[in-house]
Amino acid sequence: MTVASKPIGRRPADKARAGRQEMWHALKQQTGEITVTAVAMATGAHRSTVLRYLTALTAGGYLEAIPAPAGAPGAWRLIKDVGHHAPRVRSDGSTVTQGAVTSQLWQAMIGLKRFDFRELTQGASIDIPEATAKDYCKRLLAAGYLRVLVKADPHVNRIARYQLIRPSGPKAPQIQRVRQVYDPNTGTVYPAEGGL
Amino acid sequence: MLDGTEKINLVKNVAPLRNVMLLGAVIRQVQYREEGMPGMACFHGFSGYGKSQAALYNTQATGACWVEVKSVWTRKHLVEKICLGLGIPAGRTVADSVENIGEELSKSGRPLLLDEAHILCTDGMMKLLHDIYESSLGSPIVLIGEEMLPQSLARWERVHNRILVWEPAQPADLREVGILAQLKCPELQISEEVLTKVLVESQAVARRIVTNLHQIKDYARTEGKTEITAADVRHIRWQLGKAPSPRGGM
Repeated sequence: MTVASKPIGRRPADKARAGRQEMWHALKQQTGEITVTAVAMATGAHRSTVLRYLTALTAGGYLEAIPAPAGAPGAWRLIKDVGHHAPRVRSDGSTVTQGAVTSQLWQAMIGLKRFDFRELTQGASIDIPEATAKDYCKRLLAAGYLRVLVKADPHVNRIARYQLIRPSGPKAPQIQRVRQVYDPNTGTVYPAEGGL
Repeated sequence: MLDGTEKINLVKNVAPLRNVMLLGAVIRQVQYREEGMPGMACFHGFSGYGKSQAALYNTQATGACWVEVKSVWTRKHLVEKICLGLGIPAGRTVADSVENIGEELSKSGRPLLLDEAHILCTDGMMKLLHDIYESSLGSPIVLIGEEMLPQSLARWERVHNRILVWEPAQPADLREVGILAQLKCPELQISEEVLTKVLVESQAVARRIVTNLHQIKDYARTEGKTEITAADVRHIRWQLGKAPSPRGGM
């Protein structure tokens, strides 16, 4: 008989526990000094997760470590408040760029409303490969976010035009490996139908 | 004004159109203004000049919050949509939401772009806009609207004199027609005469230029051509942007 073991690695986005956003809110609500214990208690996140995020924020210049006597727990102070959204920082303090492409494609969809995949890359401020834009459209179509306005016709070199029919919010839907689309705006999961 | 050219050219997908760069310059001007200067801007121009397209690129480049105003919106709708655009929870009342928006704008430093801002030219909305501006401690707000927007805004002195930059959107020129042709029909070789014809027939309106380029593409597809020269001009069905005249005998 096999023993159910703890899954290895990061949880899928739709099953994620308290993350950066929750920790950021908790540390902003601290009245006095920010400690690992206080944030871990408020969010239920693991202590090492909290410590890693606090160190990253310190490296990024959002927090300042308060020198503590030897043996006392470390404490931090908030020096740069950037509002509601938690800073997405790596351990060295640099900004996370993962998700930038889909975020720009999604923003372009919201802005243009009717589009083809080429127009999406033309409205972006970063370089997006056409194949990526095409694939994102295909997956959102399968999950019911888009409606086809004009069908693609390879004989006359025509690409499909879509309309966004589920503008759920500012965060881009995430394509998961398990053939489904996770919408971080609503927390809903949509199966990607159509044999993708 | 052409400060951002080299940066935009780095991204090979984006057309370096003047209106895109003008709006970018406007946003930079209000973002990095001198202390004590007002922090609103107005970007106005005729329909189809590419203002909203410019707004899209600049939203992406500056991380701004872009909201397209609708004529049926109440004050509550407007603040809720701005909250949604910023990704923050809306308050229970308009007053709560204005506080939330103000806090988020001032802390994050994101510019707020309000598209179709001529719809906001009513007493209630202008007061609300003024409140948002004041509670955000003067965060950059850019109003994007039709050609008469500055004249409409003149009625509300409190908003009008908080505007730092008035920037009219520019009509397209031949260079931009060439860029759009490259972008929309990269497979076609279009001669200079045809591009000039496109510019003239479209009355330098970007949206109509794109429509006419599409007509050329359709023509090339049916005729099986990859090169369009002056000889093809009379066969193409140009969109003139005029309402058709009534037929006789009706």
